[in-house]
Amino acid sequence: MKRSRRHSTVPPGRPPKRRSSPRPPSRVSTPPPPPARLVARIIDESDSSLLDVLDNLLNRGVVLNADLILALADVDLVYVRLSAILCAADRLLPDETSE
Amino acid sequence: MRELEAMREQLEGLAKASPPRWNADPEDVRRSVVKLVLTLVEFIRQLLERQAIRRMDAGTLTREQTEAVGLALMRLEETVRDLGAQFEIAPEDLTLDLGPVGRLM
Amino acid sequence: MKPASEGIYLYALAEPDLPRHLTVLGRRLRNLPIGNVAAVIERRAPPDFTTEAVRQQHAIITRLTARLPVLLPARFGSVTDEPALRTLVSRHRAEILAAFEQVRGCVQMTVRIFGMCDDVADEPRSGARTGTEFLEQARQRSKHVRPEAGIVRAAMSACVKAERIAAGERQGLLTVFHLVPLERLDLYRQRASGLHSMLSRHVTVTGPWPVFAFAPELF
Repeated sequence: MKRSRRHSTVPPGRPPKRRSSPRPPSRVSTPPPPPARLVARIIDESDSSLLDVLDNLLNRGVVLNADLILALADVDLVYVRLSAILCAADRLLPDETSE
Repeated sequence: MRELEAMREQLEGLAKASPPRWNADPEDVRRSVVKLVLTLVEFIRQLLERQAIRRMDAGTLTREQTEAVGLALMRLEETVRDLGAQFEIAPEDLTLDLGPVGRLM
Repeated sequence: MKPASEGIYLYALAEPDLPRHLTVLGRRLRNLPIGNVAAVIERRAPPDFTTEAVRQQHAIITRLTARLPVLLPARFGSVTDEPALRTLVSRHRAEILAAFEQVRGCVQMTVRIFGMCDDVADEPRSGARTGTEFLEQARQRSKHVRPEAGIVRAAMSACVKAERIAAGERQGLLTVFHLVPLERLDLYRQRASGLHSMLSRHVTVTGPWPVFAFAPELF
């Protein structure tokens, strides 16, 4: 990246950011907050809960990209690819209500 | 925790990358087909309803449009419910479980 | 939005001051400037819906968030073509710029409450006599706040800038997404540690994540 970045480093001793259960307070007083620029540690993605990954990236009412197998009597017969990007009509088409 | 266990099973299903199955019950194929069709219709009906509510909130529906869309949604919901009742399918049965992605509705 | 065979795959929207090309996790992303909004895209066929593909996209967004001052992630499977993308961004420009300001300097935390029983909103509806009444009832139902969500809101409001709630998508689970300014993250964690006793339910709190739930829905 060519633009200059003002990264602040995570203060040492700060506990890992990702928890699977609520954590108790870790210290009595906190150091002054880093500049407003987002500081993100590179999370080891294999540790991220798959549930979080799915909930973050999928919105079932909007982008449905799933496959389904139609079976009869436990025999797989038809493979259906459900790929639909559903778009609100009034966001795509000219507004017909303005008359 | 039962829900966690069930969810973990579902997520492992995705990890194996095998798609969910709709398996028509050979003893009652008609009911299975009706259930699938009604589920998809109800899914679309709810999408339409959600969008209509958004338009209401945004104020981009006239009074006539609100009445017309509301009436259509109401009739559609009644139709789905009545057809379901004929096959002893309750409204809460009309959901497609997409496994780890969650329920359709 | 029409899926296109050689189309554009949208990862996120960002502010325009970024390089024309970005390589992230081996993928060659491009910056497509559309006025004062930059679309982070890749020219590719959409990925198959597999664990690996979803995880990879999650990792790409995480890395982009670390590199850029502000980022609005797109959903998995956001396939489009250039004219449609330009139209959508132009149409939603004000909303997008407002979202940039809202999420700047913030992270997402996710609260999950398990063991939720059926909601009063799921009970059979009272008969509406007109279409307008029906739609109004539907609207009221959609605004209904579960008591547990209300408790979470009250407990966390001092450290939360915005919230999104997902209910009914997973059996017995209520999910609340919080937009948390970085400087309040420690306070957030302190407050969050008391949630499960407040609710007497199993509660998990995960994050920080990029602000997935607070990107405007373009589609």
